[in-house]
Amino acid sequence: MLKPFDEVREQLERQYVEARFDPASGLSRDELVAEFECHRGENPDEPRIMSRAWLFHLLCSKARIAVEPDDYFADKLEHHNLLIELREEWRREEEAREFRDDPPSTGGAWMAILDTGHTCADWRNLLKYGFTGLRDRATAYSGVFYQAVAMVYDAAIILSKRFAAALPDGATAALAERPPQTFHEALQLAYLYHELQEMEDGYSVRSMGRFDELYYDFYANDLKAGRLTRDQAKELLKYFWIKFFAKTQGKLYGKPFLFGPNVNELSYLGFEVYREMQIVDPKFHVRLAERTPRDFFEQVVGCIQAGCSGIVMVNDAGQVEMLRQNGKTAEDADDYILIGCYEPAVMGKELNCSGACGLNLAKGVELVLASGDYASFDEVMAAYFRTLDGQIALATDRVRREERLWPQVSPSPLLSGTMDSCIEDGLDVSQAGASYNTSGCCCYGIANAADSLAVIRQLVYDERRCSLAELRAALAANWQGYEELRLTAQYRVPKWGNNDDYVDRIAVEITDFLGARINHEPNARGGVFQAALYAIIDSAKAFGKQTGALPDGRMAGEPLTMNTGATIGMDKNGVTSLINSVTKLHLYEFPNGTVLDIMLHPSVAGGGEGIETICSIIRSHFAQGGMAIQFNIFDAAVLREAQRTPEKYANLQVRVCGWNVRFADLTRDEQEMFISKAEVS
Amino acid sequence: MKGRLVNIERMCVHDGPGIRTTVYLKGCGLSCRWCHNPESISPEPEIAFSRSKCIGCGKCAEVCATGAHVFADGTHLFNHQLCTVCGKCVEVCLPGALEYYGREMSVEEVGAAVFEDRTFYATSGGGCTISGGEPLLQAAFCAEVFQLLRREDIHCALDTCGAVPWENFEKVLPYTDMFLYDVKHTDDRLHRDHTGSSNRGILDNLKRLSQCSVPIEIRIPTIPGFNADETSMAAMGERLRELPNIVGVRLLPYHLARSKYEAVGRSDTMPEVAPPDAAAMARATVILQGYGLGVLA
Repeated sequence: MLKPFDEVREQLERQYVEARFDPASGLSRDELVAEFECHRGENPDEPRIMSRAWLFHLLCSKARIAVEPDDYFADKLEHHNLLIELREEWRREEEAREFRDDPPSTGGAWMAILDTGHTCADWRNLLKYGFTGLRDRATAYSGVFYQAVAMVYDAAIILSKRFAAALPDGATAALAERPPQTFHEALQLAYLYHELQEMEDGYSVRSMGRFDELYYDFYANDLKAGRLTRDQAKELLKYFWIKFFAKTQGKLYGKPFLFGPNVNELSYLGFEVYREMQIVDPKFHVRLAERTPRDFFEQVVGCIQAGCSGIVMVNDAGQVEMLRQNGKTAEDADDYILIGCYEPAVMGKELNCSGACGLNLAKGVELVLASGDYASFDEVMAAYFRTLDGQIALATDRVRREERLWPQVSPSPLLSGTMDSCIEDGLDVSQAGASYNTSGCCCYGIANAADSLAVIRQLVYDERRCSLAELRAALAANWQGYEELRLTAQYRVPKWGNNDDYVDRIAVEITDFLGARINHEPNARGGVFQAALYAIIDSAKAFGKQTGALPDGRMAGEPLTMNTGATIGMDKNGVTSLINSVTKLHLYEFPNGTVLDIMLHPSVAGGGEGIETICSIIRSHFAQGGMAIQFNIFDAAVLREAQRTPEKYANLQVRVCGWNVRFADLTRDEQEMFISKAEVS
Repeated sequence: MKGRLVNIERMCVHDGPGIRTTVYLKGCGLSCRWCHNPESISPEPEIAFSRSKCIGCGKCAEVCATGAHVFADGTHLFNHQLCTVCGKCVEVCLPGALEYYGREMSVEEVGAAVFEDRTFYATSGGGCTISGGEPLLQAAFCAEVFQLLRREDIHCALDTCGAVPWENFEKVLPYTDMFLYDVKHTDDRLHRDHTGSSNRGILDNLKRLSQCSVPIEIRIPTIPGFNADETSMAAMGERLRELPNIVGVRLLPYHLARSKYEAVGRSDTMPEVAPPDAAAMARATVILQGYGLGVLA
């Protein structure tokens, strides 16, 4: 038995920051690079997937390792991000060639990348076959792809043996021989695979799979055989989950584990541990179904109430139906997880590349206003949709071109080796080897766009209070000298999020357009694009910086409104009206995910009645067609105090978008955004 | 039929079971010194001014025919005596510093506003509460609203101070699922001193109401220096213990709302005492529990 978690927690939180790799345990960076360069020199025509596999193998066999005697798990390999460097070298090379003649900037209207980070391994296969089984499965075939897969799994086995020699009481010795059999071995395999996936593809937002379903048998069998007690399982989980926090230090991204909809003992245990840990990473997603036991639902909501803001509640029936409507088989739809923030995908079968492109809905309004006069509001909307149509064409085209480069940029034999379809077809995930190959298009600023168009409609066309030219002049001046008009726009025109059809209908019209235009647009991997209505805070800020003043009263450069909610301070009718507005949108048309943020004051959400209230809000949101919901429960005064004395509130965590962070780690601007939101609630 | 409202608030979780929409009606027969909704006391429309929201644009002064709005040295002074409540200043006040209390709404309009949140009532066991002011001063309106809501199976609660003729209760009784009933003190002299009215009618009405097989939640505004002491609480406990159909007692701790008095130009009557602390609330809870009463948290 190791030390109780609580005694070593601080040390475990710093395990990656302070990892000490023994020079005697392997080669230095220079030596590794030299060996790899030598190999490349001798094999100039080697397929890139083989070069990657070879480097992967080199790192696992010869890079330095570190193990902590006070840890149940071994996972530290000093890989120097060499695989990422190699990928970036190829990416630069390929992109320079492909995009040489493209304009350097999109003007803030859209963005597009090659998104290789949003993935989910076939965790069921990993646990069933283990490293050895996956290696053997690939070895049975011949061809470059299979060779690469066999090579990386062979590397994982070699690494397991090295760890076993350094930490004899650990669980890696078994993994070098066979699939995991105990709870400890299963968690060790999951974490080591996670680290190797990070080494192969870089730090991103991969899903860790369906936790309670994947690990229950290991847990239950151990308990039955008397190998493990419930308390020991809790300790193991704490040592396991702290690693996710230790990697991010709570600052960026984070990995989601999915719970439900079939709840078992491990579901309860997981949330018990999560609540005790009060940790910002990993994230927990919960598939809430009709059949979810009330006591489990209340346990989860109790965690939310207690400040665990890394929890997203998901409408299970809604998501399954949405996936079926968007091309998934019934069986696969039932086996979805959420990748990254809120993006549904079939576990181990889908590469949803959910962050492939983004669309700035507010920029479209700006462009339409700037480019002419319109006889009616209908003409404004028509011009707006023409503008969006053009931007979507550009963004999706760019993604398609990026995707065609993928096999030459980032083959991923480790990930591919877990997937049945890749093995059956002999194709890497970069060659669309997964069963489903979709690409996300995230639409930013629905609130800004709908509110701005409502202002144009009311002030320019319905009331004729100002002309389009005047409004254009006011925006060009960033509202300077037009304060009365700005206040009128801000306070005398209905705003998104108040259950007011005047503006809500505009939002519905926009989102219906987006769904019809984006979904079913083909990508370059034999799949389709999928629309999303959630926002990554960095992109909401970047798009905001490139967007001028807007008719809704927003000043130039301010961040766009996040996710599906109302602009801060504008949802004056409270939570019920916000939900009534948001659920007017046809959220099924956003298969790449949507989420609603709810901010509640502790006076509403506290105590036993508060749990009831939160549960009812969630159930109501889902009953009306909401897909996912997340909470922040704060008193603005407490947040102010935390801003003044961060040291006293080191563990105060808030949800900002797909990931939650410690409040103290937010920038001053972000803190202000957050506090003003809490003040409204 | 129309009623006169202060406003409608959504997602209320302290005005009866579940998530509720609370309709605040205007006008109250009592004038409790601690009243935290002074804008609901007068039955007449009035205009409230929130200084903190004023941006000093002066538009209200421009449209005011009686000179009720004056800007002196950059300070906005609102003379309520000169105000005719024409509402023009409210229309031009963009940041919402001026608010009109007392708009009239039809039964159907109130019903439509309440129906918007029906999913939330269904998932939480909530509904609609009519509060005030004293809603039973507009009992016929309440009865019609409740009839409309009950046709759609929406739970209807009525929050009353009880200071109305019994006939007013009879108008709403057939359509009310629950009463929230304020009890402030058993001592008539103290009650008169602090609310401007005798408690006899209130306590008599409560006794009659408790015979009517409708659940009643008692609400006691807990005011230090008035009724938060052991003797007062014990006397209320003694009085309440014998009544049937009391489903619980909720203690509402005194809290300050002085800015609201300034906003409506009413002289501030709020007692100069601190809100009761957790220990005082716990003591009061224990006393009432001693009389077999369930105290709601």
